[in-house]
Amino acid sequence: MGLFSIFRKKDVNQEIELTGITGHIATLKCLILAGIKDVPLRTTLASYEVGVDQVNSYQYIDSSKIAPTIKQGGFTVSGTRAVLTYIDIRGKGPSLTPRKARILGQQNYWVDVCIEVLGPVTQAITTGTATNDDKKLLNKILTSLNNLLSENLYIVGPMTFADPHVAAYIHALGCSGIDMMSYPKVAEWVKRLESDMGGPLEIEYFHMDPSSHTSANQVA
Amino acid sequence: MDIFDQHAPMGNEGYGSSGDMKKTQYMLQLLGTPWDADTLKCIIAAAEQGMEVHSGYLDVLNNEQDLEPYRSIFEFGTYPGLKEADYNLAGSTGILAFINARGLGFSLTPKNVIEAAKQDFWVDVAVTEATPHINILVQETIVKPMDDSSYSSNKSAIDKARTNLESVLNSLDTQLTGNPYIIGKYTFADVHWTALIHLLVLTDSGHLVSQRTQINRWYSSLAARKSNCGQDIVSFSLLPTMDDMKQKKLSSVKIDDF
Repeated sequence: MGLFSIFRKKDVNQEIELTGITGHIATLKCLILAGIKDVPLRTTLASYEVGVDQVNSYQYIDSSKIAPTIKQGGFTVSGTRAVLTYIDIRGKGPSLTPRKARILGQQNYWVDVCIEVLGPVTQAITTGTATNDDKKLLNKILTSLNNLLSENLYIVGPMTFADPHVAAYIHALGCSGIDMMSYPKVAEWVKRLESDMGGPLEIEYFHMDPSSHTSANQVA
Repeated sequence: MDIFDQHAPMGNEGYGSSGDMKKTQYMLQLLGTPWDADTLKCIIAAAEQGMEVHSGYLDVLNNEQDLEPYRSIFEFGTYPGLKEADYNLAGSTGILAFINARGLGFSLTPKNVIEAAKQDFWVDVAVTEATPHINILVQETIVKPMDDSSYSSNKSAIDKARTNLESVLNSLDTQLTGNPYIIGKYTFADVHWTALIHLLVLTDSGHLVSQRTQINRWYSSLAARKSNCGQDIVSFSLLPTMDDMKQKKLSSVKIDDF
């Protein structure tokens, strides 16, 4: 905790390193945003064997190591919120934070829905413990997203932080066998995001296989 | 009349009530509960940013968030809920950002990326490492006894929650050393932790605060801190007392010096 150190101006030109966990949605959010914002990352993924928490914004790999954590030069910060903020500003193009208050509110509404509703359901699906109620709730969320995306190119209209947040869960659910073709507008939106990222999200070892192992990986 | 107008009626006074207000002067209606940290964060942020809010109690003890009047507006039942004219929003993450963007004061999110990342880290720590344990204390010492007068609090769960908070409170105390606020200037990190520490104090766990000199100093200073927007209001003064909790009463934010 408190993984901060002094940031120097020269650090901005140094390689950005991301520490994450295989199959960890919080890590995946960071990778997707890095793809969208065209930020090269040197990524080290710890093994799935540590156990993956799909609900919280970060988790401990061991007593002193948190995932996700980003490091550039002398600056280090942990947790999804902070890492996304950092990648967004360091990346190309304007910030994904909407300027209009109502769109900003909607963006964060979907971030909250991801954390409070979609996260626990995804955890249940990916661990094979989902009840019928979980499956009904998932269908309700995906139907709602499908309806939204029939009107909007992105979740709340323009591309915002809501998109990498939701996309991470959709990717994890896809890896767990949930067929997105039942939600055609969601599937089209995934392809749109992939196009924005310059190609499909292909992250070696980022699948939901418990036999995954530690590796380093380049994104973007 | 929707659930907001039933539980948090706006009345006819205050700025904006005549309809000839600026866009930033719409009055807000908030539904939540006095023992919910997320609801308290919204009230603090509204006071800090000079946004008038009419607050009302959402009866989560009887699952009102799952009933049609609320679900017809917020399909997943997330709360607190906010209404501004024809716009509705649920969840503290959205409401805080909305109030910050709409409000009159300087943004509570730092512009500098390093400071913004530090703020976000401490928000994450509050949500991930402190909130689950404080929720247990709130349930065991406030909500369950209020819901059932014969309820006997689970002492083991309370002790465990307090023990689990020691480490994160030590980290916060260290972070506050040399800083007037959590990352130096007042940000959303302070809004989040103010709500949590206030609930901690109300759950007979004040010793966890008083034992830590930096948290104690920071928390005490909030009681006299004027709002971020320059209005004559102290956000801390709007936080509920134990009597407010029992009466299920939430403070509204009133701006008198507009």
